[in-house]
Amino acid sequence: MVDSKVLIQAMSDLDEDVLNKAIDEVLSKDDNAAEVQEIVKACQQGMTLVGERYDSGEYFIGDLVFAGEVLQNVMDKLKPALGTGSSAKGGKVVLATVFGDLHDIGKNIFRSMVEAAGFEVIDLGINVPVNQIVDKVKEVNPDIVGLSGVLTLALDSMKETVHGLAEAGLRNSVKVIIGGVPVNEVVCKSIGADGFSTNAAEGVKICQRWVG
Amino acid sequence: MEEQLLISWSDIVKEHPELADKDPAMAMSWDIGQEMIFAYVTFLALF
Amino acid sequence: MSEVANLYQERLDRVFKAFNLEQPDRVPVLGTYGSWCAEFAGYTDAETNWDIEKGGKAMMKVASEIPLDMVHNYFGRPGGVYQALGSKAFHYLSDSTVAQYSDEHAQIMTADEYPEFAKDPFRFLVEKILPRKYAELAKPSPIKDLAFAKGAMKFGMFGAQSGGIVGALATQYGMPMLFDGVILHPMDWIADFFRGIKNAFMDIRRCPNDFLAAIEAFTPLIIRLGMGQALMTPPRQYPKVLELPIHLPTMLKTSDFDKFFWPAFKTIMEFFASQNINVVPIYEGDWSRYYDHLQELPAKKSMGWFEYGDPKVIKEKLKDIMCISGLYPATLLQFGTKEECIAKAKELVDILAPGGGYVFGTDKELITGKAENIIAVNKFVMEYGVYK
Repeated sequence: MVDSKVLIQAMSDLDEDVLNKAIDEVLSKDDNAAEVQEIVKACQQGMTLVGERYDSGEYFIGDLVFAGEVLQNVMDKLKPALGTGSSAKGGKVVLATVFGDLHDIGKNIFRSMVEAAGFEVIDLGINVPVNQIVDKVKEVNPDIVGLSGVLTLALDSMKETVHGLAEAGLRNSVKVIIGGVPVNEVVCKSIGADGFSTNAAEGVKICQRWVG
Repeated sequence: MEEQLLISWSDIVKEHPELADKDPAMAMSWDIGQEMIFAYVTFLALF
Repeated sequence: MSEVANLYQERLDRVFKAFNLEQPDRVPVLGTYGSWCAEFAGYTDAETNWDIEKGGKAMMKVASEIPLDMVHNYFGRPGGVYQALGSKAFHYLSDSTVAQYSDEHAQIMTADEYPEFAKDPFRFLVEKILPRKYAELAKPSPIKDLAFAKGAMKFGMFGAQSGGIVGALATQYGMPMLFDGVILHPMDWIADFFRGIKNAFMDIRRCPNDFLAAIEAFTPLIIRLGMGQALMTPPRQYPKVLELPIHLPTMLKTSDFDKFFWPAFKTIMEFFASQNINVVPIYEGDWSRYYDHLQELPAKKSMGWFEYGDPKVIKEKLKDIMCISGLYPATLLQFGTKEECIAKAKELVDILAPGGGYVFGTDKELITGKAENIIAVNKFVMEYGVYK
């Protein structure tokens, strides 16, 4: 049987060995669908704890990135056994690092955490032009658009992206959150976003409030 | 034995014992050509 | 001495007095302008990387129109070198984006190669790293040999031409330049350009001893690179200065910082101090966890360029160790009003100037910003930051 408590703690502690052992054990059995789901759920809960340990100053970015990798490994290993039924009922997010910016570490941390919180994420990658974001929003009709960037010039691209959404008549059908090193209240207002965060876990909470 | 790509300070000193009291990072004062190639190679390993 | 030469000397004296933790006549203003120089002169970043004449013109325009005591470096890059070698990472020449870290292009070394790297780092660079980064160097002889030589020629030419820009700034505008060279911490270098920082975070957990051995083996090469650059510029009255941008520390747990980053950092800082070469580490992120560590650095041998932090705490903890710079938000110059910009400058000068040991500069190198704000702020600091 899968001991959820142990796995939640292992994810929170970023203990790959414990997680891998549990996964290998479950995958060696037939008829393991329920147990596989339990592992996924435990890891997602553990990810929330990782976010809390970051907030409390125990974990740092390096740990969050590692956590994202651990979670990704878990999901990759379990994907064949997961089949259908993995629900993403938290909402839909279109995510991108804006045009001119190639940084993605922060965006990827946010993606791991918001997926773990039950959101479906369409990640457009880095250096994404305005029209590509606008077209994707038109196509998939998300609840939230997440824009990431580290360079100060990314802020100009964020502004242009929000403008692009407005021009396409899409601005009012989505919430826009901006994330990255240089974002703050002043910048958020100037760009015309609905929310901002320099902290992935906080960003997830903002998104949850919007769809909740 | 594999040929050395970059002459180490200890080898320089073997041939030129009069340099022994100079700092190893001062290898450049012995062979600026080598230091320029060194700078070039390490520069290329950035970006 | 001519007027220009006087101005040059006056500016040097002002900056190096602050560097020495003394009080000059007023707070020196350092130009921390990266590819913004191109924007200011009406060029794209890419244009200046191909045509150094344009880069030079941009620097001259900055020196003549922006109130400054010193520029920090020449912002342009040697596009010709990258082209000669078929660089895979220099994609921004076609994209018109600016130079920046790219995790995708950083991942060229596998974790199991750490021991080979540590055994002979220079050989590993030549045999493994360069052919993976540069398409021409992966081709057979004699193509790769000629490409290597062509790149070296362009590298030498770039050195001479950028040296010419330094000279022109001095003779035409009495404008000195701060940095004689740049180095990186071995951990940042390996993480940013060989493994990718995502992999580096995993290496810390999965192969810590190999990673640490590689950092230790790379350190003497970095010291050699710094010394070479310092000695290649013409001798001068004041110490040479090296730039040391720092990346990983604020993303690490303190125990990882202590194990992987700090020892080599201390070694490097102490070495250059012993050679009377100053270092300007760019403390990216929030270094407040590490101020106590920084108190161990050799005094008066460095200037801390801080991105974030409480200026009061920084001044209190570090004023006897290092000259302080940075902390002025670049985003304010980009989005703020002139009044907001000046108010923030006043706030920082009030806290950091007393007693000297402070050079006014922005929190990060500028890639964009409103010229009128930059000019207004610099002018204000020059008028307001007078020591009575």
